[in-house]
Amino acid sequence: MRTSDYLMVALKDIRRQPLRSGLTIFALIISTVILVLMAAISVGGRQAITEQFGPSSGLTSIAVTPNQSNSSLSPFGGIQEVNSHAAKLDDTTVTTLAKLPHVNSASPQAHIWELANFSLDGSDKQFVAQAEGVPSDAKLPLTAGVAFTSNDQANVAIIGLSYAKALGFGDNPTQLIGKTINVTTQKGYRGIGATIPDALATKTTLDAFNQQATTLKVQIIGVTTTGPNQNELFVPIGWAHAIRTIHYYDAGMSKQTDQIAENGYTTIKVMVDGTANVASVSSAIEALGYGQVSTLSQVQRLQQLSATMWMILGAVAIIAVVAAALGVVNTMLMAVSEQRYTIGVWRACGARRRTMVALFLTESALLGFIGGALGVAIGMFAGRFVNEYVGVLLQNQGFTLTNIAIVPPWLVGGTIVVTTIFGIIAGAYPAYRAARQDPVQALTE
Amino acid sequence: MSSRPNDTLIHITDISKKYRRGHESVDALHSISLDIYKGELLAIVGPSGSGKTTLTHIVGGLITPDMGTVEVEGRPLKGRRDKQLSSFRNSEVGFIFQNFSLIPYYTVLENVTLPLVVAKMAPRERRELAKEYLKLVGLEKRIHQRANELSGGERQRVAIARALVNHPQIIIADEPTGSLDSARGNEIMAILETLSHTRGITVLVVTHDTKLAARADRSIHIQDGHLIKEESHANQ
Repeated sequence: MRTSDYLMVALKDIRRQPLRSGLTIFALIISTVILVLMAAISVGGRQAITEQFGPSSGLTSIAVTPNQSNSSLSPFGGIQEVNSHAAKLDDTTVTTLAKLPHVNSASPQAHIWELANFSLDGSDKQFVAQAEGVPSDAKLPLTAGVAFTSNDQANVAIIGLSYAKALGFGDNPTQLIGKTINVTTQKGYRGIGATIPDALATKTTLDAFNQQATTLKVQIIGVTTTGPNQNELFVPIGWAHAIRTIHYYDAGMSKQTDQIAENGYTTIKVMVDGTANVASVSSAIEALGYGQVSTLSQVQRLQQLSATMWMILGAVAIIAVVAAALGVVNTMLMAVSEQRYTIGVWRACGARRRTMVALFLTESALLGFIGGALGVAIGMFAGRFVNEYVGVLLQNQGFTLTNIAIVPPWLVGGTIVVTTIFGIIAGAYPAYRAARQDPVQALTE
Repeated sequence: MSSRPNDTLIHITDISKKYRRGHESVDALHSISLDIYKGELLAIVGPSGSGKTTLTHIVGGLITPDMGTVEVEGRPLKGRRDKQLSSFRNSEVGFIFQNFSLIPYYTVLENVTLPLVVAKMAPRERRELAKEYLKLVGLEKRIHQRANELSGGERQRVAIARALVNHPQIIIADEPTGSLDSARGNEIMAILETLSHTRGITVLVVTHDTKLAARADRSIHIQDGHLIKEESHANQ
């Protein structure tokens, strides 16, 4: 028989029992939708991990912190034990770390607590400012604009790509370069740009000052790529010192305290010469008495979690497909039982046993294919729904995932192939029974 | 058409067949030997359960005998694998059954093209050929009707068209008039006579109707699996 004839005969038989075939296909559709959604969410999760940590070169970075115990830096949060003897992260530490074997560079980073939020000039949209001071040689990966030219550049910033996206410039971040953002400080800010009451100020004046925030006009000169920096606002480290330097009067004398110099940097970013050496450098850092979290270890933990999730979700999906395949077995057994006479006619007309096997396998494969194809289509639609609605909900809660469910082409093709193969497997025993049937007995019943 | 010994198409030698019925073994055929000639219309007569249908199923390659041999054009059926036996049924034998053996949810055309589908003939070619044979049996205007929408006589004519469409040498008609009234039965018998006498097809008709059997060139009588009588009607 010709392939087209196998398909025509199989389709005719599927149409012969529309309700039964429809229910079988419906079960396959449901299981396929589950399979596609589970896989799409898993793929989306993996992509989110990749996006979060940027290109593979980011895997060689280690964040050094003062505390030995540093679980709070993990992406899952957790408790953090304070080490009262922890050494301060200062320029000496930067130099020490830079001299460690396999370390390419060590770059300090200071969190600027004084900067509370910011908005694009002319826009009402306010964002929490996750502001960090970095040196000009920090080598932030940029998608638009330029790096800082010196540590002492003032009133300039590089913003994370997530902010650019939230501001509506995700597709063309270059348009943000040169625009001004208004950065609002915490109330009672006493750093650079603040109008600080003089030594003779009254209590009322001081109270009013403590309730007052300062707005700093800052020009955007760069936008980061996706990765660990995408949710932050960077300023030059020199200007960060100026922002974090408190100006005050003591006994009528004007005084100032640089809090970064006093408390040290928040973290020092160490770049290792290769992922193979990350573990040894991490050990060396710990041996110096510092805490550390490597991007590689975080990615590995996330990927482990992702793999475990994939296995669990995959098992659920496979169970669903197997259950649907059992439905196909039942349908095909019914079809063979009902078509004993038809099988006898085919055999009397010269059809071989192998032809009968192929006929029933084609029918079960078609059931699998139709169920799979429709299931994938609905699964893709469901994935889009998840991205549009659930994604927005998560974004409102501060998550920056772009797509939760991603259906790559391989998933579309692979799922249809899998359901078709399951259909063939499910049809194997009924097809065998059809082939073994005695045509004479079937025709004379 | 008179039968001639040197025109033997089917040579049956000493065939026996037993069936299992529960724990019992039933002799369906017992040591039957017979020659069937090219273009002959042979009636196989006998009461129900006598073994006549079993004989035609063996000749048609649907079942194999326990003992003995069947040769068609000098080539034995015994030892042929499923592929060869199926090919034999497809190209050399046409079956007509008492219950018509049509697939009820297929159209008339689809039923007739069935052997051609098995033979991998191109769709257009097989449709034309099937229409030709449906015209022969007078059903050319009902090709798109489902088989279950036809009368008994029409169904049997569809079955005849299907049996003929692959140009077989042998037509095996098992009680072809059994489900029909006498007028329709006579029509069907007339078609079978024409096939045998004008197209040279060997036609084996299983019947228990002696009147119909008398219209054949020859008739053999089977009882309890034994060939008990052979009659030639060629000169009648």
